[in-house]
Amino acid sequence: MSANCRPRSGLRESVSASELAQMGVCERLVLFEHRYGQRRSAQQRKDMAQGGQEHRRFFREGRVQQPVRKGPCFIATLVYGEGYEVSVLRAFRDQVLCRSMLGRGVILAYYRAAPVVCRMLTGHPWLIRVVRALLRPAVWVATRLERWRAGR
Amino acid sequence: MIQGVIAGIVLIILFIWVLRRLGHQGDQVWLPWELRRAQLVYAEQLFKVPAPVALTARVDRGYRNPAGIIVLVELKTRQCDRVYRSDVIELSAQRVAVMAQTGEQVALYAYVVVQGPSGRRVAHRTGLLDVVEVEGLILRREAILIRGTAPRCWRSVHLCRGCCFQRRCRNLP
Repeated sequence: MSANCRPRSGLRESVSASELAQMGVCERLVLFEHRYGQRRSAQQRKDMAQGGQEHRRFFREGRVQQPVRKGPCFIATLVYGEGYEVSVLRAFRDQVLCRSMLGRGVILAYYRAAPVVCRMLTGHPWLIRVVRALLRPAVWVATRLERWRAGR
Repeated sequence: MIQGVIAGIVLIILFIWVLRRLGHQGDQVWLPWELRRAQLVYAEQLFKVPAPVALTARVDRGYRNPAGIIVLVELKTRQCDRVYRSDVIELSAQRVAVMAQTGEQVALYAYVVVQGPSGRRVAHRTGLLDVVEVEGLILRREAILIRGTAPRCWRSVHLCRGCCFQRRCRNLP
């Protein structure tokens, strides 16, 4: 007997939402599947696999929309130390980036990449200087924005 | 000077990488207007109700709207762009499970997002069954499976054509 044709001996303790949804498809199908197990054609199995893949994609997209967990600014702290630049960048993250999906995506990408980047930077002062140069425009933009917001 | 050039190159690579990552996240054009300002609170989360009727439900997405009410969203991949009764039952069961486990208020409507073969998504707003109706369905299912209540036959040409139990079904009264 194939795995696709699995008889069940008794009623399961709990019913899942998708099993209950079968009641809206056909009650006879519910009975047959309970008695003889689920039977799917090759096409149906293929569709289900595709559906699973799309669901995983849907889940990944959702993670970008969820509120981000705020942590320390790893790279900025390593490069500048706890100081004015780090606090300006934090304010930029909380007040500007967190408010849009695009910004949350950037934050998510930053927090994913930051530990690896920090490991690479440690012990390479010239790389730290490069990153400091990279972050300078971001600090400048964040400072201007903060001043503009304060003045408003 | 060299440091500046390296910084510029790295900045460009980083920018392209972020754009590509965001491009792969898929656009949110399909997202109903009502949910654009809502906060996503549940994604692929399992909810369980132990009693009075044991029910489990995996929620694709749950958004909390500004009024504090949860709105459920379910993704379906299918050829035709329509909502079936089974979608309504599934979302209604999810609603019961979420309310029972979290005690939060869940809207009596939800969105079924239908994704076609081209990848285009369309959101359909649909009304849900209330708690009593969901419990009634669970009891009817139990009656069919345990007590031998005769199941109804939908006699849908399209559905029956693809059914693996056609021969057994014909033998039933």
